[in-house]
Amino acid sequence: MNNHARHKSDSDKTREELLAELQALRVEVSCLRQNHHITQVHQAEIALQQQFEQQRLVIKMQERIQKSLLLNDILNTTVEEVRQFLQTDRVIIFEFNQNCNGTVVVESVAPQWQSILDKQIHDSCFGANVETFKQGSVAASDIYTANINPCHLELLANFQVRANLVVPILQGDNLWGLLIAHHCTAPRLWQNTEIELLQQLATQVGIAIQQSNLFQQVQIDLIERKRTENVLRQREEQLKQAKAELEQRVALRTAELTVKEKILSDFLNAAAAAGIGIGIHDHHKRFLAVNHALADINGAAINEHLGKTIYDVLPSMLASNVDSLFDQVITTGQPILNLEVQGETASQPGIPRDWLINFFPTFLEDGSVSGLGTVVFEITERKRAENLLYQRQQEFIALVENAPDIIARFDKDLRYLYINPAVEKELGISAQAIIGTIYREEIKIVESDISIETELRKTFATGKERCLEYRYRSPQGLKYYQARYVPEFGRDGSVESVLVVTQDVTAIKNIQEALRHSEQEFRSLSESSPVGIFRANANGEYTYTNPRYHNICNCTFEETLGNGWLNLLHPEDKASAIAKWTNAVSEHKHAKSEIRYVRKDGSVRYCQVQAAPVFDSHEKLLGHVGTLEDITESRAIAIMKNEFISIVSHELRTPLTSLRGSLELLKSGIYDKKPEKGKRMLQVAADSAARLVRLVSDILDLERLESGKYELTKERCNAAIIMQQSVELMRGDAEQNNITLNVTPLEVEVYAACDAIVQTITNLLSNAVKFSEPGATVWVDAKLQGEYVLFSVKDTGRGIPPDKLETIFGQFQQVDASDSRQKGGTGLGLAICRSIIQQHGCQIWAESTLGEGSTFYFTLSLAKET
Amino acid sequence: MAPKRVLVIDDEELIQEVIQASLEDIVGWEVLLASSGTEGLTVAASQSPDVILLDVSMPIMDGIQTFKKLQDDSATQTIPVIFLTAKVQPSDKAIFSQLGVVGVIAKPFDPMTLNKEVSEILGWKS
Repeated sequence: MNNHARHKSDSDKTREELLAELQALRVEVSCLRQNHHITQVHQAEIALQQQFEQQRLVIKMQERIQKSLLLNDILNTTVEEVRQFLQTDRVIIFEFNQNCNGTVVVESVAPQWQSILDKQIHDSCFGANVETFKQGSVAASDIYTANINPCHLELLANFQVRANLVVPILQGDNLWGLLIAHHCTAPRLWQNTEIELLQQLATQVGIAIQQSNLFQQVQIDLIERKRTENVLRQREEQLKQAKAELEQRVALRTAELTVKEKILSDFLNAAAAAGIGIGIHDHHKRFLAVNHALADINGAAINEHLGKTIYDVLPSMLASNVDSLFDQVITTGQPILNLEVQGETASQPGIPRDWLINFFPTFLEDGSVSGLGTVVFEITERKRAENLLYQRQQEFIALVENAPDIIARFDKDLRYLYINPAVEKELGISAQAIIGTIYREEIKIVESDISIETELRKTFATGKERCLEYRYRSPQGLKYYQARYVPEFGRDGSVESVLVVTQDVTAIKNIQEALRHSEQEFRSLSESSPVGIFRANANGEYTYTNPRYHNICNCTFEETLGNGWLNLLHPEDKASAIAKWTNAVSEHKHAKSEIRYVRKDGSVRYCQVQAAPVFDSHEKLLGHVGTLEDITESRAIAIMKNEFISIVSHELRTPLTSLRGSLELLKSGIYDKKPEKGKRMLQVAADSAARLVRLVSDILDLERLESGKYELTKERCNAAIIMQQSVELMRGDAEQNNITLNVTPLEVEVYAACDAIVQTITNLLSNAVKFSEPGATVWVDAKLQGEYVLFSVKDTGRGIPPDKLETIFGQFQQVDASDSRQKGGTGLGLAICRSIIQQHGCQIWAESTLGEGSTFYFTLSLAKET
Repeated sequence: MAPKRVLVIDDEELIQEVIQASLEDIVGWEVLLASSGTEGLTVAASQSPDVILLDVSMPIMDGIQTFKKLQDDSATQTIPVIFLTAKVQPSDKAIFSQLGVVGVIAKPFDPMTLNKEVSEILGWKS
């Protein structure tokens, strides 16, 4: 069976079909062996074997193709197997590229023959053979005998080809390449089976190539897919990242917007708190935002603004005006600034307010106008301040223009920038004539070392205020001036100008001089004043005390200052003194009181304090001035005087009472018929008169002695005579009381007023007799004691208590008040004695023991030898 | 007017004599005499006089102390007391008025009108 005649190509058969056919052929051969000639059989067997090998090769290639995707491996195996199978010199696979050129991509060549692997073959004859190749195989047993195109022949000859067999490798209808077998050794007749085999293998190669292409395509697809997947994954990651970034940006943007909204809200509120109204409008002039201040000015709530136009919140007339301004801003893109408007707010109707209004455009990023804003400043206070400032400026100008002081300003060149009209009065030059000129020494200052120009330059140089006084000899006489140089600074801190205020202080100077004199006089008076003087400020705090004050209170100047003087007060007087002083200070009144001060040694001084308020010319209290008079002694004297008068009054009135009473009774005649009674009344009168005489006499003696007007005339006296004379005078009284007088005369001369000493001794004897019991003795003694004579009168009477030993020498200071009645004394005897002895510059005292008696002593100076 | 009993407390004997003569010999009043405050208290309590003429300046117990004791004693506290005194300073008078004495007669007094002064102080009708 001709293989070509078979219905189905071997390449299209499965392996099982081929094996089945092979088995059938073997059966056929067996039959032939039995039925045919042996040669034929042998030839058939050879053909059969060749066919079998051919089929095996095709199957092998099929299996390799099925098992392997390695195209090169398949192709190399194919060319190698074919060259072996065909027993030829070279088998190649040629792949076409464009323009019918191509490359030898696979080769199996016998070692002795030239390799043409990878050769780029440019065969111009190929183009004509393409269609031929597509139709089937081309076989040439000998290229030199075959009808081959010369150009192709040359190519084959170059490759040492003698016979060749070419079968096409197709990919569908396209010619992919060629499977070529070269026989170089010699011409070769290609068998049909060989041609068929090569065609079958070319078909398998086409399948392998297709499979490889498919595989490559799959690989490419896979790679592409993987790449796509990676790209997709990357895209996804990028998307995720982008999403995250976007979300983050959105969050950030949201946060930023929130912050900005907060900032805007805070800004609007802060502006509102500062009285600044703010409104923001869109392109249609609708409110996007508005703060409380502007809402209040417009008279509507914030939410009544938002999304609305000004026509919705403002009166139509006003809205129309504002709207035209809005249009102007939006149209021109230019702001309208500093419009001053006056009106009232809804929250404070009736109170006029002033505002400064600004409209400004808002822009988009492309520069187009997106809307506009309104900023309204509350300038009510500023307007008031401006008005006030203007008013003050006018006042200031009026003040300066009419000021009596010369007020001038100079620039750095000492040019008069200004000078007020007061200069005309002083210098006789008008202000206008001076302004603009350079300063020159117009004023004739007495002090040669003072120069106004120098002072001005110093003020410019130092930037410090200067003040000086100088004298000016004017036609009216010497005048005093006080000038203040005040630097005026520019924005850079340098002195731009100097203000000079020159004041005529002549009157003040004269007053100060007079005051200084007055103060000096006051000081002199105060320092030598016999009364304490103090000065206090308006708060009642002491600012000055004079030396006498310190002397009275035994304190220092510092201790009296402020409220220190309160510490000097007697505790019992402190509260009332503070109350009176506080009242005097607060009520601006005079104060007068008697206050006790306690000195450091504990002694108490009674003081008369007087204070008078001092006012300035505006009746404002400046403080108090006062005096402190030490009345301790005068007060004691006054008390004593009062007591003395009271006692004298009593002592005089007592005998007068009985004297007057008895005489009045006698005068009435009621005792005319009762002579005894009348006689008794006469005796009462006589006794009373005698007592009165003694009393008056003693009082007069004492007054004369203590007044200092009567000076005792002292002379040389014999003490013995004085003693005896005194005793003799008292002997009658003594005997009447049964008292013995014992005298021991001392023959010595004393320097004394004899009669006064006699009176002294008789007074002492009188007391001794009075207070001695009948039968007692009274001793009168004297003895020398240095330059003195010590006299003594001693009794044995009742004695004197120790606490009375000193006081009995006082006026009306008897041991017992009844003594004057019972003993007939006046209570002045011992006082007279003390006064007499003290006038002699000597001493008198008493010593006594109660119940045993008393001794009175006194001394007298011995008369000096002549 | 019935005769009155008058207690005179005074340490001055001459004055006692004059007062006694004045009241007894002119209007016939009974005059009781005491030379000290102590004695006066005794007499006042025992004799219940219609009025006491009391000297102020007396030794040991002066007129003021005597007056207070008279006021403290229920037997004598109702007896009107007139101070008969030579202490006539304004300060003295102020002290007397605070004590509650019914009257003060200054020394020297007129013996011829003493009884009238006493009667007038006490509201006695002659």
